[in-house]
Amino acid sequence: MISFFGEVGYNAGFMHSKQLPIFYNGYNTYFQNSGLSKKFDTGKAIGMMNGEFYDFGIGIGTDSKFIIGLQGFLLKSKPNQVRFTVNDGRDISVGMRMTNVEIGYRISSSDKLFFQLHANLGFGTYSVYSAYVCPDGSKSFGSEHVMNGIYSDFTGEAGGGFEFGFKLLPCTYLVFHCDYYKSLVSKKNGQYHDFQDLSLTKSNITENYLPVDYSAYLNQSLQGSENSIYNDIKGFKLSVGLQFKTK
Amino acid sequence: MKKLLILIPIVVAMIFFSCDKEDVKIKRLNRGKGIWQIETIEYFTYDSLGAHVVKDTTIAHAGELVVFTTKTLDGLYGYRLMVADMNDASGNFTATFPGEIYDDGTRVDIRNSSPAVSFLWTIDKNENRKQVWSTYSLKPDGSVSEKITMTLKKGD
Repeated sequence: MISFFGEVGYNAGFMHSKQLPIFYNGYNTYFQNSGLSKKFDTGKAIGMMNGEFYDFGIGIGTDSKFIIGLQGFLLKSKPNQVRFTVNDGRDISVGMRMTNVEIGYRISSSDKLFFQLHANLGFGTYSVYSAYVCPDGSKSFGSEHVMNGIYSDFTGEAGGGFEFGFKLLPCTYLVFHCDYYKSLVSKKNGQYHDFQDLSLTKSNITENYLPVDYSAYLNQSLQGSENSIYNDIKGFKLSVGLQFKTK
Repeated sequence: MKKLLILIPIVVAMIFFSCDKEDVKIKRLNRGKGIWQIETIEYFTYDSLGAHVVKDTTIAHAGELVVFTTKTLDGLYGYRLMVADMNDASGNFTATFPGEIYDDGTRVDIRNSSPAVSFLWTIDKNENRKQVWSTYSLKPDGSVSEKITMTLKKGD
């Protein structure tokens, strides 16, 4: 017996990176004598993220089902901030835009409740948004500051987790997910620049990656260095949503 | 009825969160081929403290951007062609600039090789029929000198 399901909801992500604090540290160090009133927080790396998700697919079986579906989600963090003397500074936030194939097994003890274990494999874009903040609060992603940009890594990712569903109405379930995600195919080699700005204008004018050593970054020629961090973003995502499914 | 009382706040909360689009901007300009009238171009100057902004000049009806899609290889990367028809302060047509335009929901990249022009604008407002873009220049000490803000309205 084949059933169909579709789901929408809201995510809260708790993602972590050991590489981003290396970049934050380098930036703080470079500007430490320039009157920083607020430094990048190097402890939390990314912090809490939020966004939406969708999920749809089919279940094969009767009470217990083999599940295969397609899932997509968005997450974006609040900005990590540096501030200088006249309240100008830099905001950096992290975004994830993912699409997964979900394969799992769903156990239903009754019509009112189900529990599901699943694995995810997919691809997506991890982006680091770096904006200069003007004294009046307006933000610039333009090419006038070297570090402005949207540094993205399109790569594979994998994860797994579980899901509970509680019946609210006929064919309508309130669902909770807990999933672990990890970026794959990270090159772990500075010369490949996992995070790059894809804007041609930006890449023709300034460096276009996230450096380990900010001072060296400012003094080296375009594109030729091994001075970049790599993508090691991983962590948990909690989700709440509504699932609509046929029997 | 009890279940409905649970369901309604959840749906309302989900709609509320979904409407916060500051973080996930839809690529509205990508659907926005056609004519965009430049309603105003405003010039803002930052003083020595950088804390105050003085609006020096506003140019009204500065021209229009004609945006259209291309079937060339560049089209695969989301580029579209653009022609900017610019007016003088009196609203009279003065010049035409052809180029390529690309946006990622946060920035607009306008480029042309001949004459060599390259602008990277920040999208401040990203709506179906209205766009606000800004670009900045610096003083020799690296602080912000000037902001140029362009307000665009989708032509009928």
